[in-house]
Amino acid sequence: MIHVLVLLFLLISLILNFFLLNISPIFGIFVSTFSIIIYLILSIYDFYDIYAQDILAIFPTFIFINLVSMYFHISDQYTNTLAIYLILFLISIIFSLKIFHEKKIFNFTNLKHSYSALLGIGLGYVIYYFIPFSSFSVSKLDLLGSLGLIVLIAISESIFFQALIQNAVTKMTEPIIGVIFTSILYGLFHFSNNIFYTALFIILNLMYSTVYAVWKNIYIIIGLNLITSLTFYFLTSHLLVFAIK
Amino acid sequence: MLAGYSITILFIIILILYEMLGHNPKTNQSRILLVPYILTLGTIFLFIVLKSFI
Repeated sequence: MIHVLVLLFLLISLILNFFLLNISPIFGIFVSTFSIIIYLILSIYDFYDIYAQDILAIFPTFIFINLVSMYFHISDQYTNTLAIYLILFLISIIFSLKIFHEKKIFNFTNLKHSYSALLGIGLGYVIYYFIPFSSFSVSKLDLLGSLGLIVLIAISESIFFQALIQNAVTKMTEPIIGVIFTSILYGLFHFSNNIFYTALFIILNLMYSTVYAVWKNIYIIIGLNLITSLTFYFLTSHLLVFAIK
Repeated sequence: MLAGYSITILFIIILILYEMLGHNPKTNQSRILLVPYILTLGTIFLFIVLKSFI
């Protein structure tokens, strides 16, 4: 019970932070800095018996990325996305190699089930069907830049959401709560003014997380994410993150 | 501007936390949780300093 309460506390404080940063940036920056410090102190002096230190240590990354993108305030979509995902990639790689090294995130298990990555073609088509992309302006990205971004997005999102957050929550509670919590976080990470798109991203990540919970292989998830983004890109010439910004 | 200041303050506070934890053998293990933030914040802090000089 207390595990779920801790997760709810994290979600509510994250939503509060997003809200404050959008309503009043000056106040929001103070609250964000304060909450990052609180999370880190809580993770160090952890609730020793509930294994919350992992998720509490990883969680400030969300607010941290918001803070950094607010500092750079880049208007260019390409540079903005590149900066955000590079930071996400850096943090998740250091976490997974230095701290969660003994949990063997990068093991080659269940490789014979790689065919599940082909599910991405269907997912890409479904999202293409639901997002009215004609209302967005045509992106100015060239092919090479988009492909590079898609690869970076696939690797960093998969490692951060599935390998780090879902594993940490699953260790705390049950796999089903891990899947739901990760999906809500993924929806919030791609948050936009339209609540329907957020729901779409939540459903998208429900698929990713379920596949990860079943096969426990991060390479399959990276492939699935990559194929979904590629399908969406070839259909609409938008990146899956760009469609919402 | 304000975000830059808060990033600098965050960097200093996390460095102090890291330094404090090292002297206590009980918490010495958990200081490793701060390493990713120190590295990332350090990179951005370096960027802020360089940007103000150039």
